[in-house]
Amino acid sequence: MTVDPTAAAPTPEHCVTALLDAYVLGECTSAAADAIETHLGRCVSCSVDAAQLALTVPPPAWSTVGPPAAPTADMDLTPGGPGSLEAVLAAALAVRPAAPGTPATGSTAPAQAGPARPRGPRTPTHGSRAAALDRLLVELAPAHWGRLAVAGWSVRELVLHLYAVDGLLLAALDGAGSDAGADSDAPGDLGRPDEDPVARTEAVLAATREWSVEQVRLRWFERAGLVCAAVADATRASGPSVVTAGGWTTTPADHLTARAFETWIHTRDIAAAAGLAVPDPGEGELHTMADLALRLLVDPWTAAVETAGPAALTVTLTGPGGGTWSLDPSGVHEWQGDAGLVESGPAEGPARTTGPASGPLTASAITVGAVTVGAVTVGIVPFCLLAGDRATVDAVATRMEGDERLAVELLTLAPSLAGP
Amino acid sequence: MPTVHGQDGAAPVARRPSAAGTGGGAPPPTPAAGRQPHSRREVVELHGRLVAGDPTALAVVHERYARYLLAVAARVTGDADAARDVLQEVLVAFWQHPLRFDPDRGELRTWLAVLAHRRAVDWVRREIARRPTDLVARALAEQSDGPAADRDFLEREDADAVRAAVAALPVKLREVVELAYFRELTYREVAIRLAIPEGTAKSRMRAALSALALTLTRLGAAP
Repeated sequence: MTVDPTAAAPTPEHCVTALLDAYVLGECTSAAADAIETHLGRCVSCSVDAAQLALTVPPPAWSTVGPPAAPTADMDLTPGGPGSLEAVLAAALAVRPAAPGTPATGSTAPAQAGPARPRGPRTPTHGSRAAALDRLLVELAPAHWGRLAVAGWSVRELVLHLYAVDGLLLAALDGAGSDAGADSDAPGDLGRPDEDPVARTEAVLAATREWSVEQVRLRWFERAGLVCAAVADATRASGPSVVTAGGWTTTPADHLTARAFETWIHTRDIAAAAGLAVPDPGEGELHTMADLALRLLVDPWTAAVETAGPAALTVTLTGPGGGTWSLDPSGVHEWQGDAGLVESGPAEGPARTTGPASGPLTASAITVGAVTVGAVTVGIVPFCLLAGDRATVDAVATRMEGDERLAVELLTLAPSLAGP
Repeated sequence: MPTVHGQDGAAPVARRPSAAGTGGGAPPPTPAAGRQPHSRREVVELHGRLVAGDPTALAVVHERYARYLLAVAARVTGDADAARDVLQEVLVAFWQHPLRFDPDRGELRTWLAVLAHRRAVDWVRREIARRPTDLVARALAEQSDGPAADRDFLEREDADAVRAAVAALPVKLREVVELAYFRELTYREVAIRLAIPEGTAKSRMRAALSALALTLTRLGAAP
């Protein structure tokens, strides 16, 4: 028996109990098997049923000719041989490269399951978010690409929007002398660094109408990798401390974090349009994104609250990648344990200790001397989604102390960071 | 039944299927003793890194699950080399399509095991499709170029089935088999006798063997 995928139509949402026999016995078409495996990866009940079947039902075909000869070799995995770590990694990286910007390593020893670096805003993250979106795009059906994602753009157009904005940063870095900025496109295809991102996106959409969705995916991913390389090159070469792209002047590292942030947000948009799920960024990435958001917010927040005099707000972001920051008119500082309050900043800037090591401010009172104080606690993912304009203040659970107005101003301002 | 012990003293697992197949009394593979499965949070974190293109996450998956998956595959295939290939295929597929697994709704070890099992079954099916052709070809080809035919093949208890299958071959294929096998001629001698190039004799023999294998498989009499 062969299962016809069009007749069986297994979907991620519906259990496939009736198809498990055929699947376990290898009597499905490969398309049906892929669909069933996708469902099994999302359904404990069906995967357990399949496992039980697998353990109890023999492959009947052996009864035709009898089983093969017993293995004479032992079951060890010879280093470098089939199934060994080295062979698996080599085969895996041949079909899907590591995330752009992943440092090459000669070691094949697995890293610990837990995070290697629990905190710190020092790692640009765009490569990881590009890799995650790339895997999402690989899973999309042709029909998904035409679905409306956000801002009136389809999934296809949204990916090209990312491609366009990555191009602006690439053009800025290229103009600043980065060798890695050279793209396979003609130079004009990158756009001008000072070009408006939306206008640039419209130009890209007009120029890429003939691209297949696979071309869109490959060209976008290639450019994301070039952006990572260009920033790394600019950093290594002690290049310009700041560049202007898309009307925003900041360090290359901050630009890269912003690209990661936007890529993540739009990955969520695309996943929602396709009815799929994508993991959130790792804790180091989230920390970096949240740190950037707070640094961008501190000036408008200060302007909004200083009419009533000097103010200070302690922001505690909870969850993996979280931390405690202090916002006041002098800027943003992060509480880093024994190091005390450290000025927050992008990757290449040396950290500067600026505060006492006695602990983050608490805000049980509304004022400390002449300074109005407040504190807010919020999950780091909801905070980032708020800053990405994918959550509302009302929907984000917070705990406020001291002068709540200070926290409300910050949270209300957060979505203003988001662009299209 | 021969068994093999996994690393870390894992429970014995079936090395090969029983005569009646692979089911029955073979104990199911179990994870390596002394290792706790990843907690859900660990799996979520590991999966996130895999999606994000971190090869060290794949290395962790290999370290944690390779032995188990190898045992699952070996139980079906009865072949250590095939089991290693299956293991590699499963982990590469996970790296290539990590979003087909959702740690919030799935169970990683079970899912990987099911994938390994199905790929092992696929290997068995391919092997079965290949084996009759190979074995018949080997049995006959060894005779066709040799100085004297070994008639063991026809003296098997299912020799009648083989003779019937040969008789059912088209004439041009049958005569090559009869000359090479029953009259113990080499390819060169067959070519001279039939006034055809030696290459043609070989290609007719290959076609005949494929047809024989198919027929014998259908009859349940393949070697």
